[in-house]
Amino acid sequence: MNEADRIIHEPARLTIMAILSGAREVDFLYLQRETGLTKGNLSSHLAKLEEPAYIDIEKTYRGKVPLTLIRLTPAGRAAFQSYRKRMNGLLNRPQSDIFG
Amino acid sequence: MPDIDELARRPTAYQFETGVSQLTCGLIFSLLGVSDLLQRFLPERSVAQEAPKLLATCGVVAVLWGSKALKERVVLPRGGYAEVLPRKCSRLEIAAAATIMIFTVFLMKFEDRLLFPGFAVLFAVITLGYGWRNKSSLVVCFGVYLLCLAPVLWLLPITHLQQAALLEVGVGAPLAVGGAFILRRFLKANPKRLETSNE
Repeated sequence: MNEADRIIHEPARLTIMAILSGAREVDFLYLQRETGLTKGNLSSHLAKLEEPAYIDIEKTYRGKVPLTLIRLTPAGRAAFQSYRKRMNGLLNRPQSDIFG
Repeated sequence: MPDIDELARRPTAYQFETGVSQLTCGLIFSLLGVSDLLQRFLPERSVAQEAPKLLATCGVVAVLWGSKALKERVVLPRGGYAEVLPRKCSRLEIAAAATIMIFTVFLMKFEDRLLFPGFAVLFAVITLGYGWRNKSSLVVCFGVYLLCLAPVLWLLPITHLQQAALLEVGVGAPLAVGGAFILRRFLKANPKRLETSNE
């Protein structure tokens, strides 16, 4: 498994990437509600996904309320698709191929 | 390992979990249906006959504005904001929609009283299929209700245009009531947070 896969493979980050793959953009509150993570935990996972530019985080305002919008970048979408393809390939391989 | 397909469908499902979409569609359908029904009782080609249509148009604008305000002020601060990816219609879907439209215009000329009960059956089949696939008992119940509505529309001694208006009300009213119940449940499950909605 390469480094890119390791970033996505962690369950919480995989959950975040999967949710983001079905949306154009979501806000922090929505992502927190869907993942069930704490604010700090979610922030740290988002920072890890932002490092390789898999996601784009935009800090803005809705009226006077701060709003953090998160979206997948084209690179993130491609990495996620490639990860899914690789995992599906692995899961569909016969057991004899895996265990010898 | 999380179910990736299920998670990817969550933002789309969220649009229907708040109940605002159902409430808005239901109210618009009901308003248009009631205005159509009222028009039939007013003297033909009079100015008064245009009044229900005008009121319904104002009502639709008010419903759309109210729905936007409800989403921004009540729903999003509790549940968060998610915008789904724009869905591309397949050629088959476009062809099916065009065929239904041409078929409807063709049958409207014959004033066929089977047209709108037929529509009710078509909606029922689509709704039942959707409810079955998504394992939603509420949607399946709505499909069964539409199946029951079809023979009622056909048996009532009314014109095909009155059938159309009744179908609009028949679909819109339960949709609006259902949407209101879903919204109430959503608001109870997601109480307003005291802190700001974001990080």
